[in-house]
Amino acid sequence: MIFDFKVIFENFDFYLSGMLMTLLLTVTSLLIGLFIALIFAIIKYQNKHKITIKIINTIVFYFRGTPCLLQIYLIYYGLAQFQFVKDSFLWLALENAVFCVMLALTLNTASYTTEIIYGGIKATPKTQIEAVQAFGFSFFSGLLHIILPGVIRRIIPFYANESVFLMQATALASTITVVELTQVARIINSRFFIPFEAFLFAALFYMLISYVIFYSLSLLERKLNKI
Amino acid sequence: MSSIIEYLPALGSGLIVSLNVALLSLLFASIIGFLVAIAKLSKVKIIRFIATSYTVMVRGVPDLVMMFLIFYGGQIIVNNITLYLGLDYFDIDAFYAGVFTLSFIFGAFMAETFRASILALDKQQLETAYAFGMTKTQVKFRILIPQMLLHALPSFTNNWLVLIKSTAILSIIGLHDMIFVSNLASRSTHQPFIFYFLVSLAYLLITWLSIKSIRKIEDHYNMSHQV
Repeated sequence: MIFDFKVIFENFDFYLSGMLMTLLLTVTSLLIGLFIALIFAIIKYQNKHKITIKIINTIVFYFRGTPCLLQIYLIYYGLAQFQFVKDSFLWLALENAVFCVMLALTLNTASYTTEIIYGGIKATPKTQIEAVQAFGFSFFSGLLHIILPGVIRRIIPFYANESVFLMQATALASTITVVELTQVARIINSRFFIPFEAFLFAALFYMLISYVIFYSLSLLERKLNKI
Repeated sequence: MSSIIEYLPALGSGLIVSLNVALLSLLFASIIGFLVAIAKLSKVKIIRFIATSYTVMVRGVPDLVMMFLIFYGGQIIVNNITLYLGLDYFDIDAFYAGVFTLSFIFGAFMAETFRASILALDKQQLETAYAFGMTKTQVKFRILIPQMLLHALPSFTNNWLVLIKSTAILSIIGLHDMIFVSNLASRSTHQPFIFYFLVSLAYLLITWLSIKSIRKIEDHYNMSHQV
């Protein structure tokens, strides 16, 4: 068997556009997901709004317990079943495959990250929390200035794992016609019938991004732990 | 409602297919993981290198891309072999391709699990056991492996939970699992939401049952040796 990477280089621009879409999906979902997760985790930690916490726990349980592929199908194909969704203004967004993938991935990563952040807050030493209260910090300023910085340091390795998983989950977008890296590889494969070259090249790129994320977050961890 | 009842037997057999794939993959992944974990701790440099590059590669590539690589690439290899041997052309079955893919991927994750649990063992215990006059096999089966399994249990559970959700992607290469059946059902009944939601509940149930039963096992052994 001889590998022929010539076709890959001839279609490099196509691959490049796929990579950009993969990165776009990853970055958008991670940022919005992190923001949502932070809010969810703080609400859970505050432990004041029982019903809201119930809802958050249900969302987290659902998105952590079901396959990501199914979540994408539910939003993209599933919601189209209802006429009232199709009639509403939301349909403008829900018609768009890219938006649906982003929505699914955002909720997915938000659920996993909520548990990570909440776990990080829970792991804060009791004495530290008592000290914060003794110094007369309000709930939010104590959280912001004292507790969260420690939490960030604690959760980086777990968050690195989660962001790599999320980046790799963007490959699922190819199943609903979003032209990202995996979809590019599938198109190239079906056009030239070169599965090894087409998918190996995509795999190489995914590997590169995965280890860039791992490496940069471990650098950040080392830098924060030095202080 | 009647449409759901109509498809219930097909969904049920899809569930069994998913469980079969997942359990078979778990078995093979555990065997691969155990061997690779030992290889990673080997004193021979080249064995360590091969084992480490395997885990590094698998962790960096999305499962979907790995599946396409094995499914389409494997077909080419099979074609070449059958051509060479003068046999009839045959298609790779989605079931075996799926088991192979998931075993290959989760073998790498299991390797990390087992490696960590081997490293977590208390060396003094082994020395004590030897000092009490136990033979090498006795130490291995009475001291080493029981503790290793106990240490590995939380991470092993986690791998299983990810594995069972990963079976979802096999519907893309035509495995007749629950999602494949729902795809067909939603096309003919125009009720995608109901079917996908039903399937997601089945996954939630599996996850929930797995967590519950593993907790039972953990409670039973209670990690009392650590106290």
